[in-house]
Amino acid sequence: MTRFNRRHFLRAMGLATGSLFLPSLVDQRHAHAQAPRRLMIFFTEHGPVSGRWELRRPGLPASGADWQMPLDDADPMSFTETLRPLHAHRADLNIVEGLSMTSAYIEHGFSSNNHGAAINNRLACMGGVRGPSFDQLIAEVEQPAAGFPYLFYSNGSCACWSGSPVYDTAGAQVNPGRLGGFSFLPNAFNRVFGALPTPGTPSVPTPIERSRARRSSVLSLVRGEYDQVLGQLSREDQDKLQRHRDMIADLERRAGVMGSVTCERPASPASGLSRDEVTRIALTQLYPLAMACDLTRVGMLKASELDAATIGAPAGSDVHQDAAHPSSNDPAATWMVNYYAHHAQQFADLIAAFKAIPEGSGTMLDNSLLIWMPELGNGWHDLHQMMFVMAGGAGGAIPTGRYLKYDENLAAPAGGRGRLLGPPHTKLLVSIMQAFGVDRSSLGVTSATAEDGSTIDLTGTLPGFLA
Amino acid sequence: MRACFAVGLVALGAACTGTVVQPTHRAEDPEPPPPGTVVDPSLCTPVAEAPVRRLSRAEYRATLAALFPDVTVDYELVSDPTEHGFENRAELLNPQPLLIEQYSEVAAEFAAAAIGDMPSWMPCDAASAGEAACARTFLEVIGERIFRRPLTAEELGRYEAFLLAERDMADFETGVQLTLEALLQSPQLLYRIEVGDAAAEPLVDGALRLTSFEVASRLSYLVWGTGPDQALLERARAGELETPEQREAEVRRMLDEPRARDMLVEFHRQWLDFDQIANEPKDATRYPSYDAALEAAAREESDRFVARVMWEGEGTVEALLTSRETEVNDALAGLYGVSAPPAGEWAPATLDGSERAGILTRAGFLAGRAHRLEGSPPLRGIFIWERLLCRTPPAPPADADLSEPAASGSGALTNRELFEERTSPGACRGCHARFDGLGFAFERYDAIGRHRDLDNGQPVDPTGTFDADGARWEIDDAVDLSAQLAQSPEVEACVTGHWYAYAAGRAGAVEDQCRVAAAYEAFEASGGDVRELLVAFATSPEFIHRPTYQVGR
Repeated sequence: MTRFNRRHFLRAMGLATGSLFLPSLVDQRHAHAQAPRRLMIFFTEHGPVSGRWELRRPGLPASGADWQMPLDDADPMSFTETLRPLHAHRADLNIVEGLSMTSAYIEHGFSSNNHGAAINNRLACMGGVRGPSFDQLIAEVEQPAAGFPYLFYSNGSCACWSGSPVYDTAGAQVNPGRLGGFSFLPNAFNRVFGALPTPGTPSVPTPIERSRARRSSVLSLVRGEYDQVLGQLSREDQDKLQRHRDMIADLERRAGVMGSVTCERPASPASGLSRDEVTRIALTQLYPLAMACDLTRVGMLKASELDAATIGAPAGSDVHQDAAHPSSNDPAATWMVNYYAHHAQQFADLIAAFKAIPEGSGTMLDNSLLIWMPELGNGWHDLHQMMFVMAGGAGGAIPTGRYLKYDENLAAPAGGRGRLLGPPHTKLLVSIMQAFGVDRSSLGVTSATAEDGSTIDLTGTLPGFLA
Repeated sequence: MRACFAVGLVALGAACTGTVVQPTHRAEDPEPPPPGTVVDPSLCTPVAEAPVRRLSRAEYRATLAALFPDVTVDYELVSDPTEHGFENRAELLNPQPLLIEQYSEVAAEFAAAAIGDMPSWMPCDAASAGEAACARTFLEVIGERIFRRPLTAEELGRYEAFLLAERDMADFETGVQLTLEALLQSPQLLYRIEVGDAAAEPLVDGALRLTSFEVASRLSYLVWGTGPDQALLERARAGELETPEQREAEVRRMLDEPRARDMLVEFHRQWLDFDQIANEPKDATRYPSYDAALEAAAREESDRFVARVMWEGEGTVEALLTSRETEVNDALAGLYGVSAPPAGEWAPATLDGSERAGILTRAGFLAGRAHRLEGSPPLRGIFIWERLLCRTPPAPPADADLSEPAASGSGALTNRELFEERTSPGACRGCHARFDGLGFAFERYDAIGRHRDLDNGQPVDPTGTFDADGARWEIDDAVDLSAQLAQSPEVEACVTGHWYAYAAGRAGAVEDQCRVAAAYEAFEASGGDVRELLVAFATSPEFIHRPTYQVGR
């Protein structure tokens, strides 16, 4: 790891010199050690417009075979309108077409509403509360010494679609941090970077700075008090407070090593920003800085629904009902192309931020995997022909600069009425877990009987994806 | 016992018949038994299960605010899981990493803010009393408020040693600040732990008597939703919470305090889902007057109405469902057609009795159970079905079209006609026939709660029928429906069950039926006065006991 080029970094962030970050993330002792790997998920609502995001090239079949093509065409028009904002980063991308959320079809059938099915299955490949999502399993093996095992924010403010797709290793749904609702940034910056030293001349510490300096000592006392009461409780209550005690112990441990983090505290963004601006700053500052400072290695931002004006729909339109649901036809289809092109630009901004941070002989992106993960296959709730867009090689485990097309030739679970599906998306998530060193070959639902009587195998990796 | 369901209960006495009471039930539970169901009292346990309860988010906020009323810290916590809208179910209030982190941060922020104003709350002056003596006094006085009981000698010793050690590394003020930060994360603050008093003679066979301070905590969270005040702690110290009469006197004192108003508002917020209005935006073209200010006013009126009728006023379910009294600001006055107070002010108002009757005819409920263009009869009907009648809400089939018919409707059909058309297939009628009669009663209100006689140029039809209390209700409109609900034993039984569960922190189960029955009898005898229900809870012998259980592993 080498010293950051401060000006380069700040310029890439689009910030005035000195306004944000002193990139003193330097620890020469680790200069030759393997850089940490990071996983960042950008989760967006609804889905892209089927037929208007996929890339094609003459000579490659539309169906009947799996194929890959290099993303090497310098012409931006070689990318569809939906994905064109990502063209500049084509050498760093993996775009995967054709996967199916088969586990959701197995569990929920083909006629369900599918928002709930997607929440259950997008990251965990099973419904409800029975097991962890893949990101949490990666967070188990990629833990920073200080900071946060997992950094999860959502800028939604509506409880109507706020279900979290994240399930912890006990199978419990994980809540996003949403301090301040969609304007969570000031609180998030304080939470993530608050314990870092402030640039400039040392001054008399404030009470909260005194608290942060002694946080592990306070938590040690608190942990001990939980130990004291455990013996007075019933077994069920004891289990509950023991879990609480263990979570305090984890905070205590991480607070104890905060002093080893050599970043300085960035200035907090202003409050009162638009929801879209919050998304942009979260993607281009909060997460890249947190990961550059090794304050977290696994994170997710769950973006709220875009508004009608952003996607070119008439004022007052209900984006969910008026744009997403009818997006198999125009004009809604065009609005949803705009919707997803807007997110593509945000994802491109995230990629640029990671590429702006030098690391080793390359950039932080080389050691990261960024995933743009729409909720559904499309706005009308299909859970097949899903779009996965990824950037970064996860430390060399995943080749980049590719478009991977998987054919839809597998029998569907019961209720599929003869339709054929592509490989289960579970296989991609298993591949990614293995790329991060998670020793698993399955996640969630592992098999089912197809409507033609054959066995659907959801285990193993996605052919041709890993290096 | 995890499963809970509607239980028929015995009206107190020997006769094993009585009104059906549903101490709330879960979605997977069967329909409640019909009124008059005979139950078996032998299924009742002597005292209710009493798991350790983590403070709910609302209780935590109220507790911190009561401890340091002059300290202002802006913070948010992750939301608590809910059951039937209620956020204080002990079995669901488990620790999770983000919450524990937030507790730690909030404690640090509170302590840091409080230390800046230490002279205003510190019970001693270190300069004159000496730092060691003042540290001890701080722990004895402030520690007791936080723990809701005096600290044991061992606890005093541990916290005192910590405080003095931190003082030695920095200064006395820092030692107090960090100790306060630790106290605010202690299990004694965040959880309601009832160890009991093994030396005390139980009044209920096989149960363990609570300590007087544990009884004080039960009272304060029951009536106030926050920790005990100094007067209540002194009653506990003096052993003056032992008899039913003593507890009744204390509950009546507490009910006069504004904290009781806050608790009553909080219960109704959860039960009647006041916050739902924020999730139902309206069409700006159709409702240009419905801006953020009007939405906020409609939301606030719900709180003000509950405070007015349930704390200041009658305090009965009947008043909740039929009162014409409310408070309005200028935005809301226009919607209700009453005189507007000066801008920025709220004023009492009496609404037109032919248009409004109680909470179900107010803008908060009506707009919260409506789509962008029109009210939703199914949502309004199912809400009453579930929350006021404690019946299991039927789930729509997976392929049900849940969009609002008015968005795609054409011609001169009314909202009711559009819904009737949508749900006319036989597969729909089986369920919709059961609750649509409730929902259609609200057709005299549009999606923001304005009263109307015409819908799409056609006369509104708000009539319907509904089967309850063993009879068929003929419903004229929402005002009439509210009046019938207000007189319904089934509603009163349901409300008893909700209160029982709220007080106990757990949904009632079959073994609770005798306690729910006793509460129901008191509730009914008082004319449905919620305050008397609280007195009934607090004066029962079970209130000062918990079951015995094996501790440790």
